[in-house]
Amino acid sequence: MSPLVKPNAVFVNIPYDERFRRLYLAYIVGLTHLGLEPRATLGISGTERRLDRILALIQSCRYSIHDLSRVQLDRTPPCTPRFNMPFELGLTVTWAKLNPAQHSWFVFEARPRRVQKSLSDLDGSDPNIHDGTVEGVMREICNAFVRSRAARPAVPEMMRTYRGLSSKLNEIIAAAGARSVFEARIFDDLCFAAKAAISHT
Amino acid sequence: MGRSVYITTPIPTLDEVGKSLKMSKARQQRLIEIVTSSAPVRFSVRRRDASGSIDGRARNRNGNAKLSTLRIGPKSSMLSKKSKHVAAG
Repeated sequence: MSPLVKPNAVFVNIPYDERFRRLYLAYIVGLTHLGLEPRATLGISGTERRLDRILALIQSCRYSIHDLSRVQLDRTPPCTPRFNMPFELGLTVTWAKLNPAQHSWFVFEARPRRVQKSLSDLDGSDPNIHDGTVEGVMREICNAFVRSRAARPAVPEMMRTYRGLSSKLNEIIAAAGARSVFEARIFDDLCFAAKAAISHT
Repeated sequence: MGRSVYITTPIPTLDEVGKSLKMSKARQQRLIEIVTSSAPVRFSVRRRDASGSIDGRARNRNGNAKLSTLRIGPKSSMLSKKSKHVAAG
């Protein structure tokens, strides 16, 4: 039985490493600004097999973003590329093909035309190119998810929230007693803090 | 793959987001305090007439190092050209 689909939930399929920290925060802030709820495999808990939990998470989200910009080899030995993002995209595409009314997915990339080489099976699909910048992520999120004019945030407004939250990041990590932003607890804290920052302004 | 989707779902309130994340009220409150508190502003003031000047020496109104604080001798090489001029004068 498939889990209940949350109409606001967005599965964010991104690399979890320090070099991606800024864009990770940008996705959280951008999606929260649009009234969407970011979800990530960081938040997965339970005792089931990890793959089953990832699939359940994808199925519970109405939308997904798959950032395929990390195509470089991972520096940590043994040096390998990360296959998690394209693998989870594959799971998502299958789910969306079988249930087109329940899921919409987007591919984000940093460079134009690179995905045509790194994942040529996606030929005919237009990825959203964010140029590897925070502003680019905000812009492409706004291009992918469109709200009515009255509820549509502007990119500069989103950038202000991003900068505000970014300046509090270390404090949020310290308050949680965490060591990295890529921990389940911090992910939840950042989602809530982003919403609080938006509500406060 | 969707090029763009039109979102019509209502924007959740802060309370609803907290509930959705299954966060305790205390944790929510702590995060709100962090986000809404103004960060301590750290900046340094460089006053020409104070010891906290660029080269760490007290200066007179003209911006020259005060004679009383000038180091004479081997360390005079550390002084700026202007200061050296004053020292020589």
